[in-house]
Amino acid sequence: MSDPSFWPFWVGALCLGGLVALTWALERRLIAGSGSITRVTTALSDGDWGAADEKLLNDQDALQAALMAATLAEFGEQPDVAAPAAPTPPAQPSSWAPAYAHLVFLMMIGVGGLLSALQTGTFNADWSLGTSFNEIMGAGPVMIGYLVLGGLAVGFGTRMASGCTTGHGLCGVSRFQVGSFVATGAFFGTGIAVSYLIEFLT
Amino acid sequence: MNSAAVRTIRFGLVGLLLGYCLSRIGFTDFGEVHAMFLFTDFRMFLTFCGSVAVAAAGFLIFRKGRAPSRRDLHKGTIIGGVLFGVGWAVTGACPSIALAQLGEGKLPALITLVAIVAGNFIYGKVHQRYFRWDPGSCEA
Repeated sequence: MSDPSFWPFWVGALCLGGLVALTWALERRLIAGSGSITRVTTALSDGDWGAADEKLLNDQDALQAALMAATLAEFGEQPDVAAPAAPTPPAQPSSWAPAYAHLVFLMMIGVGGLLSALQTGTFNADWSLGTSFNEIMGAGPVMIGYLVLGGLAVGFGTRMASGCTTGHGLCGVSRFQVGSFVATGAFFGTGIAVSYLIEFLT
Repeated sequence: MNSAAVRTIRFGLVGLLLGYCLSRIGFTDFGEVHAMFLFTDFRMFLTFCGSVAVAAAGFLIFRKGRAPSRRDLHKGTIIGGVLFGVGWAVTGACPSIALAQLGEGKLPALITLVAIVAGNFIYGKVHQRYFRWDPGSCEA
């Protein structure tokens, strides 16, 4: 059944799980595909790619001034209240990264797919998701319909659930996060049910 | 080189390795994903479980420093997860996968990708307008 060019499960587990562990160990960062997409989508709609914010983060004085300005803008001047002076948050190592870094991350996933396909000799740029998709789901306009509706469900659902296979499935379940267990159960369970439905209907 | 550039490059390297691994595992192949969901082939299911186990070991070993963000249950967790499950079973793609598929030359993945970004954008608007719960951090 399985194409022999795919990795056996233990190689995949070591590489994928190892990548998550290594990214955490070296970067103190969690991998989250839908989180990165949310950041890029937000930047696309408001035009703020985060370069200015990053400059601020690197300049503590400017950051404090900006925090103060934002506080004043939000709540107005309150001279009567003996300002319990919003304690300025201590500089913490943050996982924050500008939106353009998330864009680079996402684009490099594509480059990774390209390298893999070149290496296994399966690279073939054409208007097809592969023979299995055509056989099971269909090709042509039917395929476009499925991809549009399914893609919308994936984008909407992953943001609604605050995560996807990487953020919840890989990085959340492995840290015993309740939300991730429930989300992963929900999307895996639904994936199983819908796949059986597809099998039943075709 | 300034730290922003270095950080972005490291970010990109993680993406590169992620895309490569997902593709070599077969997560970008609709037939493999379909077989995983039908339990007609356990290879990818075992890959996923094994990856979680390896990642869990990593999180246990490297506990010091910044605490990773929590992922609590909220009102959108189940409904969002179910919607994602439907979309994943139909398209064979989760968000990262669509990008890796595109890199492999599977051009229709561009439709999936645009639809995912659109769905993400629409949820942002809907959440602002109708929902008030705290979705927590989805940040990497």
